[in-house]
Amino acid sequence: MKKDRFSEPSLFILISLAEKDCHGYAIMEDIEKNYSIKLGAGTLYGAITRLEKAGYIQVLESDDRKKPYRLTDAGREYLSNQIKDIQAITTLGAKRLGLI
Amino acid sequence: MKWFIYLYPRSWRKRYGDELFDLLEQKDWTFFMTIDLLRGIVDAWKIEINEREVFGIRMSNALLLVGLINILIILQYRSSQEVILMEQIALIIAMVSFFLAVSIFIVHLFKEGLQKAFSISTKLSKMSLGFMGLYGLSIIAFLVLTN
Repeated sequence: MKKDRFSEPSLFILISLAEKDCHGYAIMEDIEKNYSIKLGAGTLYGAITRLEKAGYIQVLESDDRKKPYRLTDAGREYLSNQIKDIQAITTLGAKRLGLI
Repeated sequence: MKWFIYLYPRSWRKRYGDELFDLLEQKDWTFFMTIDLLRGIVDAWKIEINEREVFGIRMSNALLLVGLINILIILQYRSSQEVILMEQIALIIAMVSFFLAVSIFIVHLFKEGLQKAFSISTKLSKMSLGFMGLYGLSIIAFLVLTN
């Protein structure tokens, strides 16, 4: 099966949801706080649409207009693999730069 | 500026519209936000067109085919040295009206559904039909002029 590649905002969203269930606005605030990146609403919901279609996040039923999202098991596995890949790249880069 | 939400595909609006509306209410409106929303709208339509099928044909493939037919028509007549101004004008009108007719039809299809899109009861379908008629007339005029 082809390995899905997602953009940076999608990874940030998955990382936000790895800790707790959040709605769109809370995800946006978390990303801004932790990475100093202002994510626009269009980008945020574009990424949420793709992640939900891929089955990596799911919406939780709520009477409120703000719907919280949860990381699925498939999403957790995908995120873990992505982080391992990134870690391997950064380790190699750091070694070649003589940082470690 | 919340009306930007209405530019998203209907199915998308149904699913995420309320959430996005709520989020936009909590944010101050900026130029960056406008650009980002426009990008989001294009992105949502891209997903919609890639997923939707009309009569078993994927919408993106149908659009590609229509585009290729138009390019072939243009290329076929572009090399002719005898093409005069009137012919070119007729061809441009034909291409623009065809593009508008198809675009309006697609927007209408997503907005109102298959049944209404093929009816002539709404303003959009009448507009689409009108542009298609203009396309027909212009392409006939073009073919007559070139021959």
